[in-house]
Amino acid sequence: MSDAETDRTATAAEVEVLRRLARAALEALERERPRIDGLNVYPVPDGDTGANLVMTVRALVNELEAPLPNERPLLHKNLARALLMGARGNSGVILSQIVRGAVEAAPAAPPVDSRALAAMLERAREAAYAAVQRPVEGTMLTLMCELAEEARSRRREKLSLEQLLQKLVERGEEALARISDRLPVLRENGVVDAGAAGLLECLRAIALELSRERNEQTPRLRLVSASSGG
Amino acid sequence: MGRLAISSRTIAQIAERSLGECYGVVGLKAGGRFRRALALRRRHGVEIKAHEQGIELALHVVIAYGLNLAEVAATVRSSVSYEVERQTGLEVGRVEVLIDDVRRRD
Repeated sequence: MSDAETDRTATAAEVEVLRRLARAALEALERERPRIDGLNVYPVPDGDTGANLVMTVRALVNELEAPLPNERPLLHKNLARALLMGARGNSGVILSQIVRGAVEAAPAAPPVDSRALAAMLERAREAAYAAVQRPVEGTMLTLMCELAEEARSRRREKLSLEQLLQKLVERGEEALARISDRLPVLRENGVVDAGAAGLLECLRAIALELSRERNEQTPRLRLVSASSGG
Repeated sequence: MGRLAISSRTIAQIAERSLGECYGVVGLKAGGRFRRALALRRRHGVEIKAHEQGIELALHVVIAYGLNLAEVAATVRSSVSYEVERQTGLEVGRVEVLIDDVRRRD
């Protein structure tokens, strides 16, 4: 196997990290589901955003439990497709687009560093906006813009992946109420956008899980594998 | 007391505005589902049929490529139905979502 081919091969440890991150996001959504459901007043106040996001992310977790291709681009494609098929509700469909954009921009070879994450967020934002005629601001879409902008503005700071994720969580927390104020129906009901709140929960869970995993100092679980073996 | 009449054109405008904000919808197409129906009113991608008990809608949409079509259609149906009912007070019965095309993003 050539070095280039080896570089494109995801190690078992790398897939395990993805599995842990996806499970962490799912657990956070399951925990916050009643709160997120309660925030759901837009586009239809049917109180199911939390449930929809749980079902959508569960499809991703299920895919990660099954045997997966080793080749990284193919692996990414499989994960995006699992989310597409498993997407439930408006928020689930938007999340599937966000992830599809992100994995399209994911590097075929490691590492996924802060620079790669910034590029992935930018593509995720583009993908999310590409599927709607008149984007409604104050929703998951606007939060996606805020996150992509935060990552872009910190490009020169040479942050580690964990540091950037922490900054993104802080930006998301700060932005959620501010952006929700832009959508009259949310302002009138005194709530933040349910989908955006769910997206932030996923981000927070991923940031926490990754920092926890790094603190454990277990090289076999490192997302950024310096050498992918072989 | 007088009466309140809401034109089909108004209903179509409300439906269209709602469609424009539906995630996944990237265009509307003029369709002809109710062409032979007597109570036909069509405006771009929205057809309306009025009944004693409420209205029926047929929505001809273009969806972005790479989305879960069933889920987008379900959201379109509930969002448009909710908006029309909320703004007109009319009961919306059947809503048909017809995906006339799927467009790959540029």
